[in-house]
Amino acid sequence: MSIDNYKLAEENGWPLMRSERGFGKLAIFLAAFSTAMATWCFTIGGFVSTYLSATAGTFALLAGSLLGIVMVTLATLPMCSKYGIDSVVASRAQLGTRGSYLSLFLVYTSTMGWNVILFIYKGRAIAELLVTFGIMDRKYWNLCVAIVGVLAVFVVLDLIRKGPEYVRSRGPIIAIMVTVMSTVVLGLLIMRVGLHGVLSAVAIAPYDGAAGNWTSALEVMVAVNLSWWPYVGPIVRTSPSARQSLWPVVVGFGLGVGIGSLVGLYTGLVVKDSGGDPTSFLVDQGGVIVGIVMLAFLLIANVGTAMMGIYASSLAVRQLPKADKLSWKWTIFLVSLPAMLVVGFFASSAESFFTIFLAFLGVAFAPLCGIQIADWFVLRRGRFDVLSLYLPDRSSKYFYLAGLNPVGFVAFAAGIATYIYLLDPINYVYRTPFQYTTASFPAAIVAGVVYIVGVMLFLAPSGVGGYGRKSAAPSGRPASPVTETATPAPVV
Amino acid sequence: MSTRLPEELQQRCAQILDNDVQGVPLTCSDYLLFAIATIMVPAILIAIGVLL
Repeated sequence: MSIDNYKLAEENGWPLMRSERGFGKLAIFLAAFSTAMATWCFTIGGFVSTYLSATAGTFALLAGSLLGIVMVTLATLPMCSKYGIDSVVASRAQLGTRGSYLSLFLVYTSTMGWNVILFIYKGRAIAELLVTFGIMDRKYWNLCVAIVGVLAVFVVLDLIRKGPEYVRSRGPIIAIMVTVMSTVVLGLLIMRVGLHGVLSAVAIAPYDGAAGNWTSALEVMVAVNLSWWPYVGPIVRTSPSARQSLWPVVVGFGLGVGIGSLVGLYTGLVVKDSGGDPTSFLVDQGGVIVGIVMLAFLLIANVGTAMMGIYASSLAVRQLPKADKLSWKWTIFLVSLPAMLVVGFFASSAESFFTIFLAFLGVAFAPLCGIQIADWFVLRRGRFDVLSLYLPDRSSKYFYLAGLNPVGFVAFAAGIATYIYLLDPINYVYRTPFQYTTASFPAAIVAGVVYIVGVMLFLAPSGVGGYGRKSAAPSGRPASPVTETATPAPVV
Repeated sequence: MSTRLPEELQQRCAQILDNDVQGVPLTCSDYLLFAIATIMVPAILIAIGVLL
């Protein structure tokens, strides 16, 4: 039988052959950049303005965006690119065939969480414009936010119902438009308040110590970049080369969100209580023309990001048993339904939701990245038993104990405990040595070390999980007809 | 059992083990440049930002 159903493999997260992958450097970069640049950048920058001034904040945003992309790149790019698989499938080797439902849950909650924020902010911006122009009374503000937010979900669904290929093919157009529009927004802001006004503004509510302020800003950027975990796999699996994808991912996802957040930082500093969102200020100052520019930016930037979010979560959800029987259109609709409900009924809670959501990203994805990096680079030395990633039962090497890898879950819990010890995710209060280490990096390191120790003590001696010399194809399953020869065997 | 999987998926799992159809991996120099760009450059940026 020949392998010829690319669409089936693409939509269900099956391995893609190198010859089937058509995305080059530029396409990957534009897809990544159009995903990273959205109105969440305003909020992220606004968050940093709490702790740092414009000069320090600019350096912190750029440094944090590069630092933040380290873990997520190492945890996803090598394996997803090598085998043409997505991030959730890759995590089955560490969490187990059923344990990967955890990563599926994280993918769903993070992508939908971002989308909810985008839809709410889009609704708020349009409501603000309608109020400013005297078209709508302010008492209908909340209702308008909910209605616009839900309508925005339907607009995005209409765009992505044509399938995954369509989603990515729109990336270049959106990325170029977003770049132009964000430059215009930045220019408008500086024209209105002046460069001196931006540079002389002080941080809103910093901690007493400089280290705590710097690390809080860096931690935000690391957490934001960790949330690219669900997005990187689906994008890089369509490129024939990891080398070709590396820099587009670093610059598009990492620097993209850092540069995009500068507008939010400057706005947060010069427009008190704006939270980094320049819409209201610029419309007040600039009138109808500026309002239309802002509206265009919000619509274009958020649509591209929301499309990728729903695409990534739909791809993940289709890994569930029998979910591949659903049509693509039904999948994206069902995946988006909870987001519609949240946007429709809880739009007014967006502010408090954002801080907790950021912390959740660090708490959840940092340990997962640590485990995956340790597994791929230290334990398995760059190879998976690919068939075992898809087998649902005992015939899989990654079935572990009832489909769950206890070592993976203990390591995950250790990483979470480390994070929460260093940084209270609800109140954003830290403990030493957070101000020198961040919370995400220690959480990832602890999770990775616990995973390595656990595997060497409990799994490798018995050959469970494909580790150790005793490892072999489980009973009832024939050995793979093709074996990898160019990469060394697992180290334990 | 592997027979429960769609035949195309099984074929793909077998064929992707061939190095010639896998994605081209990163090289040591890629990892080195990656470390410079994502660890050394941020460290320099932080040092400059703190000093300013």
